[in-house]
Amino acid sequence: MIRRRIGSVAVHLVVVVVAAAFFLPFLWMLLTAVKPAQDTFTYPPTWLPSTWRFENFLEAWRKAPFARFFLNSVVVVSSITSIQLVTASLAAYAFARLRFPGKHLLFMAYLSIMMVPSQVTLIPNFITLKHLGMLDTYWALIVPFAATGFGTFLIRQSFLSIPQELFDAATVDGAGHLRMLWQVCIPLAMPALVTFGLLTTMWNWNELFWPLIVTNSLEMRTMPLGLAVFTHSEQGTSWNLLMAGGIFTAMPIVLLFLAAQRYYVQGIARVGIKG
Amino acid sequence: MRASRLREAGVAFAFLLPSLVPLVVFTLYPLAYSGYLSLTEWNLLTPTKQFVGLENYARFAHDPALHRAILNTAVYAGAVVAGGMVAGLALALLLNRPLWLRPLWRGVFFVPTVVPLVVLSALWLSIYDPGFGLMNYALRSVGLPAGQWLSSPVSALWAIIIMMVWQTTGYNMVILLAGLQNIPEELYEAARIDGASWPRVFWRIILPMLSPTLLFLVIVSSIQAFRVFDPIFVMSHGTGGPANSTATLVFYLYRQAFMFFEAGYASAIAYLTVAIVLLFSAFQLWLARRWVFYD
Amino acid sequence: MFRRAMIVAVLFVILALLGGLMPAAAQRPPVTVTIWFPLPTGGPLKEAMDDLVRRFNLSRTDIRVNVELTGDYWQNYRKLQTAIVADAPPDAAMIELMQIPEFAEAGILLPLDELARQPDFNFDDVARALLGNSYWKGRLYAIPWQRSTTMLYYNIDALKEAGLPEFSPPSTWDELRRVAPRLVTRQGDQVLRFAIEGSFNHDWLFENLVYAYGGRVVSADGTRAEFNQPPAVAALTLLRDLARHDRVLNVNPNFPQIVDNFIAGRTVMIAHSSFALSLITERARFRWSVAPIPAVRRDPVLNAGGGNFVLFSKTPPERQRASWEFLKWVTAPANTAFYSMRSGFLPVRTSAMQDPQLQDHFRKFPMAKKSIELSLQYGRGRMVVQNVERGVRQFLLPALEAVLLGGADPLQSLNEAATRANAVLGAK
Repeated sequence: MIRRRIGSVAVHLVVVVVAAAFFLPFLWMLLTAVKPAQDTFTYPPTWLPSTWRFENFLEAWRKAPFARFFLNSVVVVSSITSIQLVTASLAAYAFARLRFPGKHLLFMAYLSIMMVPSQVTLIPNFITLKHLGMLDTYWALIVPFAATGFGTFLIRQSFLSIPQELFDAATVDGAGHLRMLWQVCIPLAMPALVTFGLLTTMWNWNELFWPLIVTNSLEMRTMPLGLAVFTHSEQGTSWNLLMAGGIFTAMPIVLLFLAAQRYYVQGIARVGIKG
Repeated sequence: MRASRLREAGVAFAFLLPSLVPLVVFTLYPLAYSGYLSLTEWNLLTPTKQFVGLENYARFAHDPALHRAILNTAVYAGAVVAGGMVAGLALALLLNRPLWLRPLWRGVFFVPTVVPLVVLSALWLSIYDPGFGLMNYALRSVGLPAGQWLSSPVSALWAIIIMMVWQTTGYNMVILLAGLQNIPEELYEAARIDGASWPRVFWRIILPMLSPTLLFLVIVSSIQAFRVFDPIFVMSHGTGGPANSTATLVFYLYRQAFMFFEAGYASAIAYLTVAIVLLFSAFQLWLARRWVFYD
Repeated sequence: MFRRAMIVAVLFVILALLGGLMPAAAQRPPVTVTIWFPLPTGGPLKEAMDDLVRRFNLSRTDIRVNVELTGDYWQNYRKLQTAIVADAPPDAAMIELMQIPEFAEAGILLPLDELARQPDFNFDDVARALLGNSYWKGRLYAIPWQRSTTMLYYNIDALKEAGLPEFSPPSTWDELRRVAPRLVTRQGDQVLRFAIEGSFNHDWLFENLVYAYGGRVVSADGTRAEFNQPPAVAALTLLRDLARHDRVLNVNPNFPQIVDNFIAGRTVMIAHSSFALSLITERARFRWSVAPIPAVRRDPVLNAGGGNFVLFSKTPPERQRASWEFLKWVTAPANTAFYSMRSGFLPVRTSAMQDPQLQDHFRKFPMAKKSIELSLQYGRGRMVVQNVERGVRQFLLPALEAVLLGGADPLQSLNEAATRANAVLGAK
C-alpha cells in the first residue's frame, strides 16, 4: 500500500520536473519580454528582470506595424474559416446524403487536396493570382484556401452518423435539402464543426510560407510574416522586443487553445486513431 | 423517378460548386501545370517559355547544392521523426496513469504544437545565441563545452532538429496516449498473471498493440518533416546557411523559384520532393507488414 | 427694378464662386511617387531621410514623395525582383551598387544620360570617385546617393589600457596579429573581448581584403571568378587563422550587432561601414576614432559600398519626371551635405564639401571629416558583374561561411565555389 503511494508520488515528481524542463523555453520568453535591453546582454544570463519593463510591449508594437499585421491576420483567418465551414458543409452534405454520378471519383479528388503537397501547387498558384491581379491583396491570402479536403472529410463523417429517422421526419415536414442541412445536420455535427473550425484557425494563423510568397508590401503582411521580418532586424540586438513581438503573435492562438483544449486534443486524437 | 434523380444530381452539383471551383483552380490545375512547367525554362517574367524537355530533371545529377539539400532533408527527417517518437512514447507511458492535474501536464507538452513556428524560431534563436543564450549557459554550468549552434555549418541543422523534436513531442504524445488507452485491460491482466516483467510487457504487448498508431505517426511525421520551411527560413535569415547546411528541399525549391526565378527547375524539384515523400511512405507501408500488428 | 438688381447680385455671386473655384480646379493634384529605401526602421538615417522628404514635399505642390522602407540592400533586391515579376515596381529606388548591372541588362532601369547632361543637374559636380559602379555598357543608370566605404573604428581608451600607442591602431594585418593577444580578454574558453570584429563572411569585407592582397574577387570584365587565386586564398587563410586558431578576430554575421558590441566594449576594433559614424558618435562613452582597414604591404584599401538612385523604364513619364525632380533636389549640394552630416555617408557632390554647415560639423566632429577624407583617398569600387547574386554570391558566401564558421579548407572551398561560379558566369 505504502509502496504504491510512494510510487505514485515519485511518478508525479518526475512528471512535474519533466514538464517544468519542457516549459523552460517559454518561461525564458515571457521573462525576457519584460527585461530592459541591457539585461539581455549579461553573462551569466539572469532569469528575473532587473526592472520589469512592460513598455517593451508598446515599443515592439510600434516598432513594426504590428497593429496592421494583426488586422490582416484576423481578416484573413476569419474569412478562411467561415468560407471553409460553408463550402465543406455543403460538400459534405452532398457526399453524405445525395446520390449522383461520379460521386466516388469526386470524393477521391477532394481527398487529394489533403495529399497534394503545397510545394507542387506553389508556382502555378502564384502565376494564376498574378494574372488575376490579386497578388499582394487579401484575395491572394484567402481564395486558394476556400476548399478543404480535410474539412469535407471530417464533416461528412459527422453527417454520416446522423440517424436516418431524423431526415425522414424532416422530409415528412416538407423540407428540401438546404433546410435539412441547416436544421438537421449542422446542429448535430456541431462538435465536428467546432473542432474543424479551431484546427483550421490555428493552421491558417500560423501560416508563414504562403503569405511570404504572395505578398510584397508591408501593409499586407500577416502576423507570422511580420514577426519573421522583425526577427531579421532585431535578433542579436533587441531580444527583449523580439520576445515581446513573439508573444503578440502567439497569444491569440494560445488563448484559443487554452479555452478549447479539449476540442483540439480530441480532434487531433480522433484523426490520429483513424489511421 | 428520373426527374427526381436529375434534380438530386442538380442539387449535389450546386452544393459542390463552391468547393469544386477552388479545388480545380488551385489544386488540380496547378498539379498538371506544374508538370508542364517542369519541362520548360522560364523566369516568371518573359511572356514566352522555353521548352527544354527533361533537361531540368537531368540537372538533378549535376547540382551539388540539390544533393546537399536532399542530404539535409534526410538527416533532418530521420532525426526529428525518430527523436519525436521516442520522446513522445516516453511521455505517453509516463502520463498513462491516473494523474493529478493530467490535463495541465498534457497542455504543457502540447503548447509547442499550437504556437506558430515563427515564434518558436525567434525564441530558440535567442536560446542558441553563442554568447548570451541559455543553451551555452546550461552546457557550461554542467562542465560541457559550449557550441556555435546556428553559427556553424556543422551544428546549425542539429540546432534546428533539437528544437523541432521538442516541438513535435507533444503531438506525438497525445496520439500515443490515445493509442495506449485503447489497449484492453485484459492483456495487462494476463501478463501480470504470467508474472511478466515490465520490459517484456513493453515489447510483447504495448509495442505490438501500438504499432498501427506508430505507423501512422511515422508516416505523418515524415510527411511533415519533408515539408519543413518556417524554422529554416527564420533561423538562417533566408540563406539556408551557414554554408547551405540548413537548406532542405522545400527551402531549396523556394530559393530556386522566388530568389532565382527559375520556375522550370523549381517545378521539377517540387515533383522530386513529392516523389521522395511518396516513395518513402510506400516503403513504410510495405515494411509495415513485417512489424505492424492488427487484431 | 429690385428684381433686376437681385438677378445681377446672384450672377455676381455665381461668377465670384466660379472665380474662386477655377484656380482650385486648375491646380492639378500632386503627382505621387513611391521611392524604396533600404534603411533601418529607426535611428539617425531614417530621421535624416524623413527630414529631407518632408522639406521636399513642403516645397512643392505638384509632387509628393512617398518613402517606403524595404529592409536591407538584399531584402530590397528580392522585393524589387518580386515586384517586377508581379508588374508592380516602385517609381524609384535606392539599390546596392552591385545590383545595378543585372537590372540594367534586363532593361528594367531607365538610362539617365540625357537627364544628367541637362545643365540644371550640373553633372560635373558629382564626385568622380562615386561614379564607378553607376555605368553599364557605357550608359549611366544610377546617381550616387548614400555611399560609404568600409572603415575601421577603434577604441582609443582600450588601446591605451593595453599599453599600445593610443592613436595608432595596427596599420597592417601582420601588426594586428602581433598585438592582438594584448587586446583580447578571456574567461576559460570564452572570449570576453575580441581584438577586432566584423562581418568577414560577407563579400564586402572579403573583397576589401582581397584588394589589399593585390587581387580581385572577379575579373575586371566580370566573366571569370578570381576568388580562388593566391591573393584571395591568402586573405581567407589569414582570416581563418585569426578567427579560429588565434581566436582574436570575431566573425559576426549580424551587422547591427557589431556596433552594439563595439559600444559595449566587447571588441576593441570593428571593421564596419563609414556610415556607422553617426550611430557611434551618439552612443559611445569612450574615446574612439577611425582608421583605414589594415593593409597588407601596399596602401590601404577601403571597399566602396552603399546605394545609388535608379529610375525604372516602365514607369509612366509623368512619374519618371517627378522622381527625377526629387533626385535633383535631394542631391543638391546643401541637401547632400545635410545628409552626410546626419548619417556619415559621403557627400555626393564635390561642392558640398564647402557647405558652411558641413564645415561647422567637421569642426565639432573631426572624426567625420577624417572618415570622409579616408574614404575618398583610399576608396575602391566594387566588382562589376552582370549577375552578382547568381554568378558570384550564391557560391562565394557559403564558401566563406564554410571556412570561417565551419573550419573548412580555404583553397578547397574557394576552388569548388569558383568552378561553379565560372559555369554560371561563362554561360551568360
